[in-house]
Amino acid sequence: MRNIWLVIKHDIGAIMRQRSFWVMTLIMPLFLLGINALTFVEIAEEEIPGLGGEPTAPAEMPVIGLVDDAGLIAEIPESLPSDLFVRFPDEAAAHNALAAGDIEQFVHIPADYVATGQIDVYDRAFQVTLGDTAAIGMGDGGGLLSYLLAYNLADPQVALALRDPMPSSQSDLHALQPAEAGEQNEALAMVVANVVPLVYYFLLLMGSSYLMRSVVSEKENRTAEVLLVSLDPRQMMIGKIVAMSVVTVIQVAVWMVGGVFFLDRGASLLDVGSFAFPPGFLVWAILFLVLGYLLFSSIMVAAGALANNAREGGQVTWLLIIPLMPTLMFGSTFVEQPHGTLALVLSLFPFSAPSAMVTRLAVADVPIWQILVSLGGLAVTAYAFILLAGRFFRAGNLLSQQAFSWRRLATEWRGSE
Amino acid sequence: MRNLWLIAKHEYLNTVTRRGFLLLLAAVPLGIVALVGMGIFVESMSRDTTPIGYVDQAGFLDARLHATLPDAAERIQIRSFVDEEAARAALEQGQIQAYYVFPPDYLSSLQTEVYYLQDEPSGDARQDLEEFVRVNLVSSYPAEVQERLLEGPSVTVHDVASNRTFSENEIANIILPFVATFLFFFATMSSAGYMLGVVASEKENRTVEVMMTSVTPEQLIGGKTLGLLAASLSQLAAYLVVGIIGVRVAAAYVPELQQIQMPWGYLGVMALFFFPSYALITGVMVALGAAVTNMEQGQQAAGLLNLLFVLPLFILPVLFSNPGHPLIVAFTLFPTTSFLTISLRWGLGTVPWWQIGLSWALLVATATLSIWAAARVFRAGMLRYGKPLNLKAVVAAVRG
Repeated sequence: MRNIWLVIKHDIGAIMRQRSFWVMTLIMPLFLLGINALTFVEIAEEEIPGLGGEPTAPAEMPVIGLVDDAGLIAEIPESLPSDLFVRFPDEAAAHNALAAGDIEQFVHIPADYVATGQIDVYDRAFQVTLGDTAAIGMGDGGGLLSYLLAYNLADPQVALALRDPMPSSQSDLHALQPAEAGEQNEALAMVVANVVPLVYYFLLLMGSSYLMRSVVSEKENRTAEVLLVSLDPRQMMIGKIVAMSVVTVIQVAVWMVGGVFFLDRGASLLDVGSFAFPPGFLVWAILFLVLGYLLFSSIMVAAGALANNAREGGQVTWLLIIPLMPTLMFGSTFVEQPHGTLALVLSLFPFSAPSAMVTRLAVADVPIWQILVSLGGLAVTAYAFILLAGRFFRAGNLLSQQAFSWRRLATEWRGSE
Repeated sequence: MRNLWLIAKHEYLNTVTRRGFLLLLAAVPLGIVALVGMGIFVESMSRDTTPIGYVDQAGFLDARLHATLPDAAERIQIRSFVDEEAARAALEQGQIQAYYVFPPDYLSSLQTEVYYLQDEPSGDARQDLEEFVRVNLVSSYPAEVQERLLEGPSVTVHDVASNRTFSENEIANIILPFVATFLFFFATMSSAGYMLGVVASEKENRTVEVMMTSVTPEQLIGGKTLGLLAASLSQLAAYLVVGIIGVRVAAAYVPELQQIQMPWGYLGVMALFFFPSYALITGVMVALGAAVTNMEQGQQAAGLLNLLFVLPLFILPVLFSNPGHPLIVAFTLFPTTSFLTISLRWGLGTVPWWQIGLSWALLVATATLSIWAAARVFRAGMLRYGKPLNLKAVVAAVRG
């Protein structure tokens, strides 16, 4: 035990003395959260306030030219400024006005519009996604043009209904068996569902990579030869894994406390609904993190024992990244369908469970049996891989100069069975 | 010059025959296919096909019109109920996922009541019901007008500044720059990673001592840069060939892909920014490799420096919602982010020519400075073992 404790103390000190560790622990999360918050603010400000009502034009929308060869537009809807459209007798006149800068864009409705549906818009400097002042876009941004045409082809009521037959603002929702969750702001839940997998990605991979590099560097500079005179390889492995676990828990504690603080402050500053992690979330998060870390680190420590340098050992990292990718890529699915098949499968599969289950726990109520099954599966898998890693982590490999290869890994695996 | 070409040829062959390079070359297109496949798979798995119901108190919905919708058999079934009691009973038995009540004054108010157990109706169910309602709203008009009201206008935007056209029918031409951007960028960053590895590892294993007896530092760095640039261009050419073949094959199944045209304007702008960006990243990596004592130190610092180049990826939502945002303009002009930002903005529309011009000028100036400084740092650090160059030493080396 004393030897294990010495290894733990040494490794914790060595890692926490590294500047990169503190950069990742303190600066990276601030940066990531800041970026996510900025995009949240931008998107929230850009939302068109309710498709349910009649379309209106943004205050800064420039005048739009109109060349109506079909003679369709007899009336401009009351909700639109009466001077929004400036009529031109033909395309040539409109082009001249465009070139002179009198208008930013004009719409040409050809005579055969009803038959063909084709409309041409001419713009001075077009953007596919519309900013504050853009009007008609490729996708008829906001449905302004569709509404105008329908208003004149049919009638005002039909035009409005066609735009959005069941507007959210006019729909009364009735949940007959509502869940017990409190009010959550969905936009903030989206931020959390995207940030949590990223946090776990960094923690699990970084922590286990540190471990692998620690083992490999002691192999490279031959310190392992000296250490193995006094230590059993198993003591060294346990010490290193426990040390990195402690460091990872410190990191997650800093990130969780900071995350909760910024979410609350951010929510109040931006005047949106609050976001609160469900009760017991922190406990589950740490449990899954520790077990997930044990699983990932056992694999990386085995890779470190077999590799001659960090670059060789790093090849195994790809195997660990792949199961974490789906949660990273489909974080929004966890908010929209937290009990869907994808979320369920990812949260039960041991290699993706740490990230996926914790993301689900952050944004939804998860049945207790699923949490326990996931945790149990993860614990069993982690135990199995730790035993396997223990067989790789032996003096023969730690002192070997053989290069890492997948064939050697397979041979060692078969030899250890 | 001979030494330069010898080094370039050696570096090129060494790089393109490396197993890791070939694996990466195959992994990117396979990865894209896997990503697209996974997205389609997720989409299909999350689809709830339980029918949705309605109670039509306004008396305007005709259930028979559901069959007239395109691909009616593949849509979510819509069931009509005479009253709310029948609908609720069906909901509680799980026969429907939700039901809508259209009150008598629906046509004037657009008011609806939605009833469900726990989860609101799925997006697909809601969309199918909306289309059913739309078909009913226009059913009293002539067929030609009905089609026009339901489909809306097909808008083609002509941008007079760049002579480009944008249309929903040609959506592939808009997405293509994004795909190309990521491939360009990926090739550049992976090449930069090789550069770091080459400089740092040759210092680590002392090969550089032997090489300095035959070549100058400028020849060494120049040769390696050229060799890796050629490898990077080979990578891009391979992606281009695979991409063209892939599009031709897929076009038989996806009609939108038949509209794709080679974006020459985009390729021209990308080439304009690619070479100076490559030079900038190379300069940074060379300086870093020369300043550190081993690969591991270099990789840690490189990870942080790479952030300067990939920053635009973190603000993609801002880019999509407001390409003219001051932050986006700043990223367009800042040398490390200009390549990625301009190529992404190009796909979204017009980038003002003054921004392109100024951005390119700043990029070229910074890249030139980067290469010049890198050569000096390399000269100072190439034979310095055991102790990395700190910032003060780097600045001193650059000042000469």
